Amino acid sequence: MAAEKRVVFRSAWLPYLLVAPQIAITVIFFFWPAFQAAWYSFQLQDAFGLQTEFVGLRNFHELFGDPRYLESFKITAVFSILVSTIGISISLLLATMANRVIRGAMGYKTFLIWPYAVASAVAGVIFAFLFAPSVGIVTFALKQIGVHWNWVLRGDQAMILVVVASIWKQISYNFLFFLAGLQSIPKSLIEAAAIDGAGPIRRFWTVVFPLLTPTTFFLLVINIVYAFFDTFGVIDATTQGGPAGATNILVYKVYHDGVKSADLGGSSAQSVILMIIVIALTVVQFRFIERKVHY
Amino acid sequence: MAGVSFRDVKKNFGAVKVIHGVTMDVDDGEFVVIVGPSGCGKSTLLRMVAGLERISSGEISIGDRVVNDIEPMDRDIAMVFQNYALYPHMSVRQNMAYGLKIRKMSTADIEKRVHRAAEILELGTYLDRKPRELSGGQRQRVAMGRAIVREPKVFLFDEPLSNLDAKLRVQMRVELQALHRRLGTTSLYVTHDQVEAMTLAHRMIVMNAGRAEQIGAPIDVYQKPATTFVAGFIGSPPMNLFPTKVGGRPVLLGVRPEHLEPCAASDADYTADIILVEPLGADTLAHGSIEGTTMIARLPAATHVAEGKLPLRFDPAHRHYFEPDTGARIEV
Repeated sequence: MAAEKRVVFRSAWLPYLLVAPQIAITVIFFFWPAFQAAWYSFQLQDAFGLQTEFVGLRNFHELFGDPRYLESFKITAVFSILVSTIGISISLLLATMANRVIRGAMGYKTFLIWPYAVASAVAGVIFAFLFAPSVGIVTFALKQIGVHWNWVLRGDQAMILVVVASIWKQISYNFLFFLAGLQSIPKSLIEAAAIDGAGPIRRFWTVVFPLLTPTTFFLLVINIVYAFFDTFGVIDATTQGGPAGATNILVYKVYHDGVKSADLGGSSAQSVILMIIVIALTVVQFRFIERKVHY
Repeated sequence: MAGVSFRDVKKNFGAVKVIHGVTMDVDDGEFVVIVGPSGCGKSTLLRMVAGLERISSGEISIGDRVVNDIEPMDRDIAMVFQNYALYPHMSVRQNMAYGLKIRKMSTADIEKRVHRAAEILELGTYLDRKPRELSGGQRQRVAMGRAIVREPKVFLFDEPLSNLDAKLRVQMRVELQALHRRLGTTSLYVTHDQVEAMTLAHRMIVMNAGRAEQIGAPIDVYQKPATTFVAGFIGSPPMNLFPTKVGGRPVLLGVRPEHLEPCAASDADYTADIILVEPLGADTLAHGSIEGTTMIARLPAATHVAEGKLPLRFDPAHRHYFEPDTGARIEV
């Protein structure tokens, strides 16, 4: 057991003063809105915000009876599974390759980390341009090989667009963690496996990948959370949930219903559900990482 | 089983030459220790035998087969690493079975070999544990077990005991010797610890700056060091070296600390200025200088010495002479 490290303050109020800004920020920007959302989710407002009525669980009832909400749930599930699994796979591949590079390694790594510095909305705009139905350069390339690309009309293509943009944005983050994970695996372990007779592919699946399990699991949770929430910018800058709700993921629907359609109660109920999902994911992550994945 | 032979083996990393040409034959069943200070190229030499480093020029053969271009897995060797390199996510059993499984051995045969190795190394009760649940000494044994089950032609050890504490190191050293006697597998063992080299080796290679300074049985190396480097490296405390002249020719006179005897002033070859006396129990070390050259004398524990002048006799049967410029041994 590591000895507990504890700073001793002489004054009684100084420690409270030091943590006060952090507490204030958390309370004002997290607890207060969260509490308000929870409170609104039990209420019904008229379109002009003049009357408010307490309706209990009716907002939730209506949500789960609304086929469009259930559709949005399904879309979100597909979207987050695609973003996290494809994103993680590509990042792992890139990290494994970058880890083998000796000459110019810094250059490769810097380039791979760059997309992280780009804001989601900007990433969305970049991809919207690249894939624009009339002037996009990728659209042009696709046309050459006979693919008709028009995500403004086709829901499946719109989904591909937001998935690609979201993955691109998140690859750097995954890449960094995988690279750090790979570099923490002692070289002698790989050499021992080579002497034991394992070729590169078997070495990867029997030694390297199992040792990256904690990293992979951590990234899986982070990526799901990312796909659920942080892809708002990408969606808003490209499809805005369309066409016909094909990319209307939960977090975008919260915004759309609350801000555009002024259904404050319904939107709040949705964000409460989202909050429960993210809390559940976090709990799973902590439980699992603390117990199982530890060498 | 098989021997290992080195034919003018060289290694360079880019423009940096790390091994300048080693030639030697390790006999079948022999235990050869490669010893030298850090950076002398001893680990590189071993890793070239393992196939983990390319051989820049020259040839290494295992048995009758030149292995320069053969993959590590096809060289029929097993290696024990300094940090053990156990697979952390596998149990002790899985660690040992990994290489056998890859070689598609039957489950029954694998089980038999793992059990035999576990029995030899007294690991029976730990087979289902993960490496992190084992002590340093136990991990060391698992690493050896992983090598044993493969029944390779050659064992390669890369400083296998240097992560253990002093007491455990002595114990494992003895066990290693017993193990080698039992299995009789050709072994190459790298260490920087000259005591390990002296006790384990049938023959040792003393390396310095990428060259094999001397190859021979430990006692021969100890009694007839080929260079001043070997004289200083093998033996603790190191051999004393005094500049002097023999027949008008400048030489370095080497005398081991145990071959200096206190005597009456009239019989003395030299008189030392002793500045520190260390009673170690079994014997006593006297540190000082003779005519400006620092020296150490190892004296019987009963000898009473104090700081100050100490007349010493150099045992005439154990005097060594070296060329002052090259450090090479000369017979006078």
